Amino acid sequence: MNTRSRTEGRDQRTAWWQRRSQAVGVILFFVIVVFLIQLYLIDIAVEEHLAEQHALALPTFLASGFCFLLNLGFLRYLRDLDREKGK
Amino acid sequence: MNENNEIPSAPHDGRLPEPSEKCDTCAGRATCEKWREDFPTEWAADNYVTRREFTKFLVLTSGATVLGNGYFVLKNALAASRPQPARPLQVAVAGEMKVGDVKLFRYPTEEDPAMLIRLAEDRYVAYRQRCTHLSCPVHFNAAETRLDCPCHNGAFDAATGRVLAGPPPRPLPKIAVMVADGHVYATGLVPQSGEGAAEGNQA
Repeated sequence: MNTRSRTEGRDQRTAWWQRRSQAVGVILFFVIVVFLIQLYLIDIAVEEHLAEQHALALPTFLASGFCFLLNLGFLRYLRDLDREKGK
Repeated sequence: MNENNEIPSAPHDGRLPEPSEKCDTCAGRATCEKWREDFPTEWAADNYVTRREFTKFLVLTSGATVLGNGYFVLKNALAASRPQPARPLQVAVAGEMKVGDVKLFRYPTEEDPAMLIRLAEDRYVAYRQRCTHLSCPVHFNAAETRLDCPCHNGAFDAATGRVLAGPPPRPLPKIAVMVADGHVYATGLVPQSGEGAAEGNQA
């Protein structure tokens, strides 16, 4: 009985680690996607600047700032996961 | 360094180690090396980047991207707050240029390259020298009477500044030209809608 409960506990821990590992992978994927969007935005801003147009500078800045906040949120979620590990 | 490019080994206490008394950092190695104790990190481990570290790096770079975007906003705001009035500028003496000649100058500020072209005996035109696509300098093609941008094969009509070929989205900004007292003057930037009013004729 005791051995059985120990085995179940180990299985639960393994499953939890696997879920956590998947979560880190998914967060990294989202961060990469958001970062690629930001690269696209700064590319637009540079092209506009070189073409001496100023209409899109502010919208791209705001959108890029939103993406950065999103990335910060993902990073915070990751930090919370790490804290959960420590408990 | 020995013949295997390894740092010479030295026993920690000055005597040759016995295989059984190797330290932890040298475990699994033929010799016990002092420097491994001082620098216990392996190359493979030193270069290892976890997904977590990579995510942090990406978020940091993401912040740098926002700063880059902010730079353009700031620059535009500063430029808008300090408008540069276009003042008349003497560009050339009327007789010094032959038909088909080009003279480079800077107008309205020192940061704005421009070009004066003599298209006919009594006809001068001037344009900013930056392509409207990505600010590459344009060059006068006398054979085809057009302005070529070598970066992406853009082309502008030398007489009007309108786009003939390539990716430029707008006509080349035109500079108003006036000929007076035997001199050619640049007198201001012509609005895009006012094309055709900027050609200078011999007075």
